[in-house]
Amino acid sequence: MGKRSFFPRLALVNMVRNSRYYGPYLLSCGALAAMYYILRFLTWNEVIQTVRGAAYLQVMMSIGCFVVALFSTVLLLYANSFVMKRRQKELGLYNILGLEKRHIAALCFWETLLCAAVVIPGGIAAGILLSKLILLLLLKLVQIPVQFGFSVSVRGVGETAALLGVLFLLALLWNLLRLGRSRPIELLHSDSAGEREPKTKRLLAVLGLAALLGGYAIALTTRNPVNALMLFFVAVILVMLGTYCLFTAGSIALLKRLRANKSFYYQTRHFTAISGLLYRMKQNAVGLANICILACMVLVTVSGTLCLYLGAEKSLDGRYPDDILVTQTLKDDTDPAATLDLVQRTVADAGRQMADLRYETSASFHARYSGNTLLTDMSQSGLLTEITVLTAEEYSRLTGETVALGENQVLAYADGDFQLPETFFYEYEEAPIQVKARLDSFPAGDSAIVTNEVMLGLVADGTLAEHLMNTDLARRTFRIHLNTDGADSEKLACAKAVLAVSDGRYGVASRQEMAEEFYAMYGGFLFLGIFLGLLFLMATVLIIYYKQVSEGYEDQRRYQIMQQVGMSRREVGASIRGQILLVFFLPLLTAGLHILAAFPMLCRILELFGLHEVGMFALCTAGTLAVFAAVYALVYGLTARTYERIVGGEA
Amino acid sequence: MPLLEVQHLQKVYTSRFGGRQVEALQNVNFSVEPGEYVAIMGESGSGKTTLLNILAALDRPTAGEVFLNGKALSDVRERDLAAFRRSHLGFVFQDFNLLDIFSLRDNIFLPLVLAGRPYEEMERKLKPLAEQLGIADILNKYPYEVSGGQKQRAAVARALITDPQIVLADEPTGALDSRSSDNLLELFGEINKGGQTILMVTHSVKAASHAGRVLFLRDGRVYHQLYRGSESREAQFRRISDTLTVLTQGGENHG
Repeated sequence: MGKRSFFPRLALVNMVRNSRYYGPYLLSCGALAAMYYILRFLTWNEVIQTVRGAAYLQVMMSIGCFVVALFSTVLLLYANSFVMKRRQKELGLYNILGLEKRHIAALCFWETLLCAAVVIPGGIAAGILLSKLILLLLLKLVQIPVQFGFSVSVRGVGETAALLGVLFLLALLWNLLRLGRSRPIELLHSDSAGEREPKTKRLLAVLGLAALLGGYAIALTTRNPVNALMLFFVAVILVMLGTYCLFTAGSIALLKRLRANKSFYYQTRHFTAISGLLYRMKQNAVGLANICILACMVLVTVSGTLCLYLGAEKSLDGRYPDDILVTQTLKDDTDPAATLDLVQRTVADAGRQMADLRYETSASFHARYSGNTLLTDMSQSGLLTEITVLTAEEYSRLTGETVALGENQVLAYADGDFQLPETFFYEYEEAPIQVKARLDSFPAGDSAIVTNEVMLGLVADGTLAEHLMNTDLARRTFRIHLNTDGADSEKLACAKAVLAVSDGRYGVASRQEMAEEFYAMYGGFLFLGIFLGLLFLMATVLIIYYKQVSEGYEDQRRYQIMQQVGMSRREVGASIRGQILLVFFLPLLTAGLHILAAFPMLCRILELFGLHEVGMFALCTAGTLAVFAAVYALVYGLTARTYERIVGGEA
Repeated sequence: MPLLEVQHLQKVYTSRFGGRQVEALQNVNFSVEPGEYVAIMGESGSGKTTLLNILAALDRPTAGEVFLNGKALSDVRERDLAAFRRSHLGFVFQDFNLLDIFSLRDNIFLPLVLAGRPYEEMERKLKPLAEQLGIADILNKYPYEVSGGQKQRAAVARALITDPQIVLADEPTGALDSRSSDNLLELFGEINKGGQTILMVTHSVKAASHAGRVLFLRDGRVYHQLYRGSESREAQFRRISDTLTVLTQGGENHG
């Protein structure tokens, strides 16, 4: 055996022998490579590029790629540092036996090279094999007919290889840096270096609690959808901060407080549990907080995107209740009757039968509401409102109800919790306006947009109507709503024909066209949600596995000592298993709590997408939580077997 | 009546795939009177550890019986064994076996906590013990913060706090430097003078020379025993050395 082949062979032997650490590491690196390739493949796939809303999909895939890349970096470095920590003793022994640091560096180099040589081609191959399946899944989700053929994205392969190559290089540099700074004796004994008792960081614990409660408060009290979207990230950051602080400092402060209570602490059941947990939390707090945050990510992305996707029809119904909506902004010289005539003729020319034709003229403007006064001066403070005004005549025509309004009297509609008072003032005028009756619905206005404004609808007559509708700020709009017969494609063609003759005078919204866009967008969301959900799940699994392995090695000796001091094997097992169970299910429990607190806020955000289905979202969330908990428990059960084997003495 | 009586103890290990049998203990007989200080000596492989494990009820003999205060260990039910060990026996190990997750105080309290004793009683028992062992000042420290000698004294405190009928010590000076060893052996002497029965397994001639009686184990049998009587420690040291020399040479002759 020549000297040249010594290090590669040693590296290979090492990796096979340490397969308990290297196996999951390589597997997850491979999975990351495959996932990255698949997303890249989809970004540049020709079929995807022809889909309506392809831009959404491509942006989403690119965001996905970014998340995967970022996450890969964190995960790969985490796993690498875990593997190397476990191997310190072995490397120290090599050093004692006469391998110099540069030899060990060479060994590290060869090990990394071998890893890369297995993982990069393997991961990409798996990605290529799976890419077709995933493409079919995506096409199904965005409701595009399936196409045949198989292709490989060369650019995707190149990028994936480059990404993983850089990551492995980073891991190698990290290892070499650590090696350079370490001394052999330290390497040899680093396993048994005493763990200091964790310090109580009361400030951090209090801060964490405050951050968590602050985040929860935001989530529970925000009512307005637009504010919810903006504040959601604030809440998320607060809750994340709170989670990290409470897991690290809070848990230790709590356990220490329990320990200070002598009569509680010195009881058979509490004694080992509190000390054991104190020790475990110190080592695992950050990892557990990570698991908790990851679990939240999975739950929010999957349940949210699932709900959006399942609610797409409902959302469409809310925002585009009719097949075709024509909107024309009225100027002094426009003739709504001509537009109506043109639209009707065009629909007939397209061979469609019209149904449910409705049209109305309304005026709308923005105002601030403060005290009991509406002011169009937007520099004033007060509640932001959008006011839509209908004449009594239009209202009667639309609803069939006869309306008799006196001077300065209106019918009023307001959405949400807001209510106009019995009498209110408009601008700085002296005569109050009286609300004659309140309406439960309003037949005009734009349902397609969700804003942070309160929508007010007013029905007025005579001079008041003239007065309200003819301010400088008021936009007078003519809308036509209609449904047609025929298949979706025929309806779409009809809408396009109507648009084609518009000559820029009006805008056309087609429900069928929006449906395609919705499905492209929400299907893409759901796809990405599931994909990233899987990624986060894999990270969770990897962390749990490595935690179990390291706990196992730590507990091996504890088991022996406790038995010698007078605990039966069963007692020791029950005690330690109880602690491990608590430690591993704490993140899941906390994640569940976070989701519960976030639920109202997520509901608000879904309203932005025109989705008001609280029941369905609750079902989606509960379902996702149940599946996740089941997978988590399964993973825990499987990795617990590894733990038992290690504790049982087989190293 | 002797405190500890060992009768015709035999332990046979069978290799996992049957076939080869190894007789770790052949026919061991001896007894220990209350208040005695007994050392058991022997080379590696002479069966010392096996004997100690059987005495500690961590292992079961193939044949023979161990009586503690007239009660046969084999009569203790499997699930009562841990409680039995806890209340009747005290252990001191070569590598201390203190748990890193506990302070020294809590390590010492461990057997009492497991027995469900109230906290006031624990403190009451610890106080004189900690002073006698010279660890009163370091009770709140953790095992990794103190020296080997201090660790071993804490371990002795843990063994004594349950007022055991017998203390079993397995190479208690094995991991200590010579000064800490001397300290510990003196402590053992003091404790024994206070009436505590001690049975110690050791390699060290010096350690054995502190004991009132030395049993020599070879090839799974008690080969010889030596009473100290009124001999000085130095004289006892020489007698043990001589016996060991004969033992080794005898071993070579037979082997």
